Amino acid sequence: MRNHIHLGIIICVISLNMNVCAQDTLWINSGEWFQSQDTMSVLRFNETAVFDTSNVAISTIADASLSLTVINTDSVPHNFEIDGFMSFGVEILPSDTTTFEIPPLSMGTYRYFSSDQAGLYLGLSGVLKVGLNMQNQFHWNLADCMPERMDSISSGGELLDEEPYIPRYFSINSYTYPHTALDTNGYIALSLGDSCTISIVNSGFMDHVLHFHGFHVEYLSTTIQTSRIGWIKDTIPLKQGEGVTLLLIANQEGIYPVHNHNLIAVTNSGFYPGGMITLINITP
Amino acid sequence: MRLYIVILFVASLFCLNAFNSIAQTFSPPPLFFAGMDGILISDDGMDIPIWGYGLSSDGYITAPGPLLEYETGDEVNLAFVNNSPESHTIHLHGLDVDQANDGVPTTSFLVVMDEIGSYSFTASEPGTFLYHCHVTTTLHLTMGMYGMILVRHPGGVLFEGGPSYYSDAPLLFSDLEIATNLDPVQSYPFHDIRPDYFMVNGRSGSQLETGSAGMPGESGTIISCPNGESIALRLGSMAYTLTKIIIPSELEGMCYMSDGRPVPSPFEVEELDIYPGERFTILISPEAEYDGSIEVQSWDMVNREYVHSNFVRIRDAALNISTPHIQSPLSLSISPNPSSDFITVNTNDAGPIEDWAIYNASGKIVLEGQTDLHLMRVDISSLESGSYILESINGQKHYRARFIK
Repeated sequence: MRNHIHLGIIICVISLNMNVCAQDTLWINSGEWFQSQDTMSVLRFNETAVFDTSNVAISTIADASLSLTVINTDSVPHNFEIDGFMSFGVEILPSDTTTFEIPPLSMGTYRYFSSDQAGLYLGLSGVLKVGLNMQNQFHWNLADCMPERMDSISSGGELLDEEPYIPRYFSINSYTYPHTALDTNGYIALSLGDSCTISIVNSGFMDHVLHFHGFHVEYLSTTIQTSRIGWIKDTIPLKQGEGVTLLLIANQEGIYPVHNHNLIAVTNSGFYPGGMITLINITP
Repeated sequence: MRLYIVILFVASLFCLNAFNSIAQTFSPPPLFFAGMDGILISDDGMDIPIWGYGLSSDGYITAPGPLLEYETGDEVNLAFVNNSPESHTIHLHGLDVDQANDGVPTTSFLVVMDEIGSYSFTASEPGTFLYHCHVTTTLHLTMGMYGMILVRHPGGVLFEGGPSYYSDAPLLFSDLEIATNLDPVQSYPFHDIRPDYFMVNGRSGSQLETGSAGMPGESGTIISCPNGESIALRLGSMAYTLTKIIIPSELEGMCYMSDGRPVPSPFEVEELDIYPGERFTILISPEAEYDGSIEVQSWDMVNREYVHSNFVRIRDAALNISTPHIQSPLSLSISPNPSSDFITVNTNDAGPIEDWAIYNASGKIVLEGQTDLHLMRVDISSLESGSYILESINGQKHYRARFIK
């Protein structure tokens, strides 16, 4: 699918004045996500009908509409939204296909997701990158979850308001540390002097805050804390549902962690280290 | 070179005269140490065990650790002795140090029991930074192993081309879960740590005005503002909770920096969210006779629930009666220091001593008395080895100085 996106981008770049739309297709798949002591039933947006544990990131050009086809392979209906920007009233029925026309968005990073109960709690949420042209691009889809709550939803149960939310897993692109080092979309490997963009969405049920070791990064875009665009910081809060684009300049060699500084979130089922930790590896 | 400096530091601990002669030549930075046997006295008088950092010259640890102060461009070598049974590090949060000095055990180095480590870096950017242990961080932070770093720019400005200001008011927000601190060995799992004690500069509630429990006369975190002058609030969070700052509009708060960098467009601020690890620099300019407070709210990060408020008093210096300064003047001199039997206390022409007391590291009075002399000799032979604070009270004035036996 990524090749299709690139082809779409090329066509759009060539035909900017013709207002050509990019086209893309997503599959809603169900599967299982394994984390230390737990196996959780989850839902994901994938680029094929084959289940993958990570939601796929979509790329499109800025200020042009996107035609997005969603195929629902799940057994219950789901909807489709872009956080804070658009909500489609149409449900995608089981085994059905629906095409959404997403109007032009400005350069930045957005969260696309399903806000129905199963979609929300079982992880149907991904990264939409708009108008990012840098050669080196990475993305981090942040999530937190409580297995007991997911079990209840996946088995058709209801959530009880009085039950406290006590998340036990905190992930980046569905990876938890140390497995985040296996994630080519999230583990940042660059050469000294290179630059990259990092697109981050908070798909969790709480705010998160990421601290960069070794580097300051610049806010290129954000969907919520817009006054911060242009700020240069080492600690980046992400409110629930927020999408942020950061610019990283690899100005020193070495291996440096990036991690959640709400330190309950650098654990796997309570054990440190784990959770939302990934690495920046800058080679000569 | 690094090893050579460390050896000098260690030697200085055992030979005060040698230390003084070294200090006259190149002013070495303080030697840091880590410990796991500290006590934080809560607002209601409870002894809460802490781990933390301290200056070897003081001999005790605190939470937060000592404020580290540098000037833009300083070449820093921070020596670090681990006097505790577990390994520790110092992560220099926000200073963008290289990998070798990053303080992360897996990519940098550990400082194991009874060993010395040294962190080198250039304080290349002015601003507010933090430091903390990065070993089993989730536990070591709630136990108290953190502190603040200020890098000041020369010329009394926040940064090159930035606004001038009168003085700094460092405010470090943190919290802890009392049950974890009482029994860190049984503290797993860590994902459900929910703090229930909330601090500004290690103090909470009434301590922010009266000083630590058991330490009467020690000024709390009251910020004294001379009329018309700007105070730089150096705000940083080492909390597990979201910190929400409420600044009264009369203080005309303006945010100029975050995370050690100027913000592109300074902005007025009356309410500000500070997430764990973030820092902000805000200038306030209280009008004459202002007497009010900044509210420091703590919010649960998981459930977005308000949990607690502390208040930091701000008032016009002209209204001050006693010693409402951030750092109390230490007009007393004590010699010899360290001493094993007798110390001589001199008020340095600040008036007679009158009432005096000696506090141990837990804040308890171990010796006290009265005199109308400017100079007195005190027999400390009955005290156990350790660090002490001698306080003299002359009318409304409180003077304090530390000594080591």
